Amino acid sequence: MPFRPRSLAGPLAALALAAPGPVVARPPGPSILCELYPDAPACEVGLPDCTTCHTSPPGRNPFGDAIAAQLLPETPRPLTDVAFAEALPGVLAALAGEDTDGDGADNETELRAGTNPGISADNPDAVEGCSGDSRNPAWNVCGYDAEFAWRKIHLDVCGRNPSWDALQTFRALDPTGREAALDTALDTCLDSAFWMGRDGVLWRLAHAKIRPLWAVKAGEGGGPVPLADYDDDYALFTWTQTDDRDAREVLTAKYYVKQVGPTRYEKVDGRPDVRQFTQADRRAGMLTTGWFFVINTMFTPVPRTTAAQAYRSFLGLDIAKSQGLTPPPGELVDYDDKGVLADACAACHTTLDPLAYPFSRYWGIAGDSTGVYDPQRNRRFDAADGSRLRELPEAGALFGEPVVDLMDWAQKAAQSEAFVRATIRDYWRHFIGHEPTAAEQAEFEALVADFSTAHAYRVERMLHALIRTEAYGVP
Amino acid sequence: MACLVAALTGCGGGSSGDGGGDPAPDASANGGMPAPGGAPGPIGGGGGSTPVGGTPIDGGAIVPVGGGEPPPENFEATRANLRFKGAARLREDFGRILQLPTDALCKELGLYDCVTEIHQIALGGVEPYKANIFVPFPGVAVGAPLAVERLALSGCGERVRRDRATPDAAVFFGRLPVDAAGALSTIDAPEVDAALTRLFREALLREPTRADLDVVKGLYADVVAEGGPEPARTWATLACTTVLTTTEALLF
Repeated sequence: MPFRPRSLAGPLAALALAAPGPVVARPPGPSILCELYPDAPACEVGLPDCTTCHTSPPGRNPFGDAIAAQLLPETPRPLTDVAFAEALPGVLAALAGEDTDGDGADNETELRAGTNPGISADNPDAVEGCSGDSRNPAWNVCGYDAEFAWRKIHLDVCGRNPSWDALQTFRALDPTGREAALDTALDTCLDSAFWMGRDGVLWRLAHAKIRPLWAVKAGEGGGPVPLADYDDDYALFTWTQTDDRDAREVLTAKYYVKQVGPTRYEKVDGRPDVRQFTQADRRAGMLTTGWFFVINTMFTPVPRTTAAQAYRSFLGLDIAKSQGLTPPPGELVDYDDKGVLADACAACHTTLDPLAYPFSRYWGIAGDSTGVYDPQRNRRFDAADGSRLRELPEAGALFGEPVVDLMDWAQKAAQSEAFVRATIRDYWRHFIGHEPTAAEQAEFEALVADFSTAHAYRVERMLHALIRTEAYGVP
Repeated sequence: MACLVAALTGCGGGSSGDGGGDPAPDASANGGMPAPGGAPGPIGGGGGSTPVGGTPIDGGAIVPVGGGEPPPENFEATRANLRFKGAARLREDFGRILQLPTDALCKELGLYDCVTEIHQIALGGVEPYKANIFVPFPGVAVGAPLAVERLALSGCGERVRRDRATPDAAVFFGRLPVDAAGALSTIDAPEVDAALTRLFREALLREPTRADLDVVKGLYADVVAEGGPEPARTWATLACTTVLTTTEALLF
């Protein structure tokens, strides 16, 4: 498809009105790229992330380097956003036919295929279609194979293949019976200990979100320095992902959950059933458990680590990888004297710091005050912790939009497409074994679209659709 | 254990991402698939999983015991998405195949569970609580073949011990024609074929081919040549281990 730049009058006018100050990162870049490539997969669902051009801002990948070399080379740096936005379309057009990462696919082809033109290992790898009849006499490698899927469901969700006898029974079914057997197998296995028990699949999905550390675990089987009990976090996660429950409650629940049997969990209100101290009206699911504050906030007045972990774990946006950098309007303030205003730091901190402000009113490691909401917490630190901490606001920003507090943060996060994508991606990786490829993207997007509508945020409903994708059921 | 080495050393990169995926072998472009019943291949490759790195132990005819059309040597798959089962699935599935509780499969020093306590990481699992390994390492660890073999050998040894102790409740090897010296009266006895057929059905969910049976039965001559005690028991353990460590059994 020939490259045809579109009119940029709209975005340029908006940029001129906004007139932000010069920074190293170029927030207009992704939107300009999408003006030129509106049908690129990354543009159909939002904006491309910074790794399209950058390694870690301000560092650039080969595509970013190529742009930088051709972008107003005679003009002193840093460029204004307006100058950058005016020059970028022409540079992108000039580079469309080049293969800057040397992977054999030109930049325009890569952008339209949804692969990165600056990373050679990421290139269009569409699955070749079947030519003629499947040459496999046993599996249907050219279409959905119900037996193949049925066996995989047993392994992925129950942990074990079916027995030989069960397989013979399945083979005796007609196509309608086999369809039903897929759902039956999935429903049966979703109640198994392999799926929802201690260290089962759901626990394994939760490990990176919870980041447990036995040495400071409290409660049953706790360590030598008990600070908080992460079993409550695993239980809450499992609860929200099972049965007919709303997965958004992982971020919005006002309750806690206890595991009371290998595959049984019960909802509880708080103490004495669980050792949690956050006030009921200030709870936000896994964002406000004692463990989350202990392991992330610890003693920090501006809990950037806490916010970054929440952003990464539940919204799939890793600021350390330059993902989800959407700074809100306004000036960044260095409340705790950490030097975040330096250009190389501000690239991320313009997003991260406002993301963290709503977490700043919850105590970290603080005995029976762990996780307690305290609107004056920022005033209880010494000046040595930050000369402007008394001015630290509770209100912050998520996705560049203002949030008044952590309750608001959690609600907006739970309603976001990023949350849906992150949730489905977790299960996709378990069932399919890798990130969605270019060839699988359409099926992944269909799951994303249905999760908030047809599936009503229920994970198990979504899984019934996932096992019917070609990505899962075509050998 | 050529079959095991072939199965796992052929597994290259294939990162599983950062969310609890599984170590992924580097399937070849035309991605071989394990064959279901009616279209099997020989142990260690052939119709089973040749493109992943298996080398057929024998070059005999690939014909199901029950007859039927021999399949092509390599199967094509558009998705080519073969994965190593990894720690959790292997433990569960070996327990099912051998009809043993998972905690009876294998214990190091008789104390520590081979999978959950000792070889978890080598088998592509995680150890979040003390080692802070929250997601599996990409690819397959160099120690994975040894860990898989350890698990299979131990589990098969326990299965054979129980089968010999209570033949009426045996799963696979209760009816072998064994003499007073612990040797098979003949490896070609129908009871041997019956035991192996049950093993293939449960482990690989397919019927064995004649070539499969010949390869596994051929082990018996090697066992006898080694001159150890109770060759029937040793052979049964190794036959079981051989089948459980094929590419077909380890990948899905």
